Amino acid sequence: MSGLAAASRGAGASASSESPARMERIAHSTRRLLVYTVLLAFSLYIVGPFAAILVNAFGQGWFGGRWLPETWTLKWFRFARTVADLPTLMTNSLTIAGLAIAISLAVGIPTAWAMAKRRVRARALLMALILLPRMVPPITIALGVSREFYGFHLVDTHLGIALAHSILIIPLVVLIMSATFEGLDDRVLEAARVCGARWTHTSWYVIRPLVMPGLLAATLFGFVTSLNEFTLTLLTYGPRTVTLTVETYVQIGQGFTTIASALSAILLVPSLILLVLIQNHIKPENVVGGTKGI
Amino acid sequence: MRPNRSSLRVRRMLGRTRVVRLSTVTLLAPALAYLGVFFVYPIFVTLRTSLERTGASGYSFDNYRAILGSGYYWNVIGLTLLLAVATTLASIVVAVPLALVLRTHVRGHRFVRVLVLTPLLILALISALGLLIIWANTGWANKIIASIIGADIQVDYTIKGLIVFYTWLYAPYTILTTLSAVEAIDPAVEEAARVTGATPIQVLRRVTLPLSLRGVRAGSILTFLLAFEAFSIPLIAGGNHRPLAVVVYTEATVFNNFPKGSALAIVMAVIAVVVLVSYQALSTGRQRREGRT
Repeated sequence: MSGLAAASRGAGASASSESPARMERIAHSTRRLLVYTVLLAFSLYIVGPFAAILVNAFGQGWFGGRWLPETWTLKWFRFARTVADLPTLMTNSLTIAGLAIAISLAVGIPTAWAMAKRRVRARALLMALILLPRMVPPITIALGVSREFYGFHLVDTHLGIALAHSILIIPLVVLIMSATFEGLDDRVLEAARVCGARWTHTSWYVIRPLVMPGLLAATLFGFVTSLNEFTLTLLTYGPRTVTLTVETYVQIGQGFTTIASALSAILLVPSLILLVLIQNHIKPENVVGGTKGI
Repeated sequence: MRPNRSSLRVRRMLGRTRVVRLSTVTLLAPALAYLGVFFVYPIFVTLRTSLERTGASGYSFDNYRAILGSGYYWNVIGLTLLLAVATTLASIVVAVPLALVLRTHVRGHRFVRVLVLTPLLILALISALGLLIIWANTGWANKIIASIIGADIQVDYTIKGLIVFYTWLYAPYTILTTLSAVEAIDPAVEEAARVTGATPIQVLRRVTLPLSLRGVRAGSILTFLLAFEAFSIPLIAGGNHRPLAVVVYTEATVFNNFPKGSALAIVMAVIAVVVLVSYQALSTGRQRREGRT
């Protein structure tokens, strides 16, 4: 559609202007140059840090203003595996993320259904309340959570950290799933009922396949949120529950930027997979309010 | 979406109201309970802690008095607001041209659209590390800048640097909403302006930019809030410049003064909520005015 618009714009400009076609061509190529300068500058600005991390993770002797390191090595990954105990970090991060997703979906999906399909009194207010945890500074929640968790003996447990992460994931699940459920046609559900399907059958054979993309989106966003969550983890973790994120912070704090880069390179992988999936399946504008960094 | 008429009739036949209302409450109950136990209660705990007195029993506003009476904390609040406002403005400067370019669907626009999303999905800590490396005094960014303007700029561990880093991280929110507003503009409107004799600059100033303002506004509030609440970036890349979240953290864990840290955290949350609510009030007021005209 916008290609059409561009074409008609070009036609309009050439019809209205009396300058020769050459001027038109110069103006056109100047515009192209400008457009690609903006795009290239932006791309470099965004990609630069990741490239730097990868170079730092695989390189050795990269200082003194060199463009690239002296030699390439896998040393920092080996250090990460032994010094930072990578397998344990991975297990911790994945266990916490899995638990957090399970909790968040179990708690969030019924609410999302109610918001989408039932008449809820003061619905806007309720939605604002559900999204509030993503608006209040995480550090304010984290201070209270850490105190509360000391009382419940939840500090330094996988479940405790997962419960803390869920505070931020549940709003995301409700946001994404209620949008998904709203897209469900009531007539389809009606048809299933009329045909004599029980509620369990309807939800498994009719609703589940239809809402799968939304469910996938919620799961992936939740997963990445948990994996990347920093503030809440920092105030609830302990020696038995060090995650990849916390260890990256510790390594940076101790000045081992190369090991931190190796850990970061590993942490980048799930985020990049998610990125590709999102680009292919979801409209990013729809979840802006829910995807808040740390 | 409301249930349609026939389903309502079915429910009415089944003697609906009680059953339906009960189950709606049941559906909402888990999330509300969770919110209560893991969000409202922790905030309450933070609030109660902030009223505790260090080394004495009972409650008082001593911590708040100490914070609001000290120039140091006012400077911290000022720095945090300065960073948030500067980041918001910088994000708008990045977002508007980028959205106008991406709208034309030039070759490679898909790739750039994916790039816009990356900062949202990647741990801020990693981004901060990468940004520190690339913006180091002898890093790539400074080498390129030096080859263009002949002198390198020092940004690591400065306020300037924090603004560059924050913008990298939080501009995507403004970019995405601006982009969706710009793409929603009916090309016929701009065409009409052009046909009636407006120059390209006039079309941009009088038609395109005003119509994309709503998107700019929606994204800037998110960018502002996130920059205001930023924690991990200034924690490792701020050097001596410590905004609110970092001061709260060091106060509570390094100096082990939980009451004072909590009081500061509450001040921070109040500022964030006040900004958000007044923004909402302003924008609904504006919408109402715009709707009337």
